[in-house]
Amino acid sequence: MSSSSSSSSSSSSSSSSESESEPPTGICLIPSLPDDVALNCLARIPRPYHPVLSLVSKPIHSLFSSPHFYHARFLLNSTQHHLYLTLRSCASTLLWFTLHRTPSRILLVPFPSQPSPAIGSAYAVLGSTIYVIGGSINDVPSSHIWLLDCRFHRWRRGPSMRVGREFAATGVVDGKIYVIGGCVADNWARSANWAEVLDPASEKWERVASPAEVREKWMHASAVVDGKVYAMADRGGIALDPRCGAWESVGTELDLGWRGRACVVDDILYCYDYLGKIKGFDVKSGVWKELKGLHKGLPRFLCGATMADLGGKLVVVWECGGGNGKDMDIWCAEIQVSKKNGELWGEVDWFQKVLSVPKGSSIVHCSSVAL
Amino acid sequence: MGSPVKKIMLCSSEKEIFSVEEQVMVQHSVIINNMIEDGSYNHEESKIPLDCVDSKTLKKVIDYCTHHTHHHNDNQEDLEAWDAQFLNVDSNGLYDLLMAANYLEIRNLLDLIYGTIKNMIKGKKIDEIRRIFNIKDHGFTPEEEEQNRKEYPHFY
Repeated sequence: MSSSSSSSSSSSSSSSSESESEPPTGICLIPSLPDDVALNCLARIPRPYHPVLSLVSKPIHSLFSSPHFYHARFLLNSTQHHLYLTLRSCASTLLWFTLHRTPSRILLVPFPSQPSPAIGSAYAVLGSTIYVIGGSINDVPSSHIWLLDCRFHRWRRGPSMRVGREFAATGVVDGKIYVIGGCVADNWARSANWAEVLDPASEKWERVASPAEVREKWMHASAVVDGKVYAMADRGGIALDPRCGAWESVGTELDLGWRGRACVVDDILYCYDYLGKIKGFDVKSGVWKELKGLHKGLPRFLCGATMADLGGKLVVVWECGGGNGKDMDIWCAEIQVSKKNGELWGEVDWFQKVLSVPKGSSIVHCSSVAL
Repeated sequence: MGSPVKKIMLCSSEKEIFSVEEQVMVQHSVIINNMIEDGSYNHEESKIPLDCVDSKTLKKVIDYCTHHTHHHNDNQEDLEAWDAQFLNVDSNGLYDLLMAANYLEIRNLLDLIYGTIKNMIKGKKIDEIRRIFNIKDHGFTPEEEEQNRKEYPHFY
């Protein structure tokens, strides 16, 4: 069948130990069609229609909860990007949501958080899995890893890091997760393992050699551009090129302009400046540019905002004072970004309020996952 | 003067013979292309038996391939309008076409049909989807079905 697509993509389907080749047996999905043809048909249907389809019949219900089905979607290039958002409530519990879009509405749907949530975890996405890395529990940095299988919203423990961390920098390069810093290099183990890499296939962490002078730094944000992990840090950001193991300081331009959370779309690093405007940095030319064309009433983005690359679109999620004194609102915007004549242009597809939460809550992180 | 247009013979499940320009089928069907290339089709004697494709469906498949061979330079809008008219059939007709396109590996027709089925499902309630898919026995126990209806009344 027409399934020759991107099976070489490094970030997919390698981590799961479940059998992805065997279909569930003894079922008839669509009575007029053989199951392989029916599967081809069902696998192309967009995810917002899955909840209703899964109640159409028991065989379809079983298919939709099988890894086989998601593997078929991946082979058919039918996956779509979904936004995952983590909030911290005023009672300091973690709340997880996924953004649901139906033709008529957009809303955040909650699902259970990991069994032992931490503060200051780092996040990485590989295939359909979100890795929640370290963070402190009762003020002690943890080495624990939690994996969220976004297909079924199931949590499981991953392989622990060699050292505990909080507020580490992370980045995915060539299908491996790099974690940098977030620990005090005050003994041999923490110095040697200041940076580590996880190969999801072997589920083993390996140390990444780092020069002693960078280990003093604390990380504030991170992003991957052009195969390098960039970390914003105290007294000068750093970049790791994992393919050759080289560390370097980031240029002054990037260092001065990069404030807070960022994301990379089409090799441009986006963040917002102290005036709340979105700007993008082109690593190749080393210049910041304002994202133009956003005149459709977007507010200024202040420190609570976070961003993600949603399948080539820039998504911004931000906090906003609610109508009454008790609540605050979470807003979201989806922006098409493009490069024109050396300038960065954005066009707002939509923006709206997606959730109300009690005041004192805050946005922790957002990720984009292809499902 | 060019040589006369080469033809091949296709035989439906009712043993009706259809004579089609070779180039039309070779361009669209991976299977027929392979048969011609590896020499397993003999122009003097062979006909290609399509035991699982009835005459009505085979005629439509040939229409599709012929139109898309001769009109591939038409503008996109005209082609899409033609495709929409072409697929204006009931769901059984659509499944027959899907099976034929799947058997002959006609990829653009497959994509077209999959897209049409996707659009048929969009925004539909469960009872309508069951009708579209010809599902008589949904396989849920009466208790499960009742529970689902209670939990997701807007889907029914």
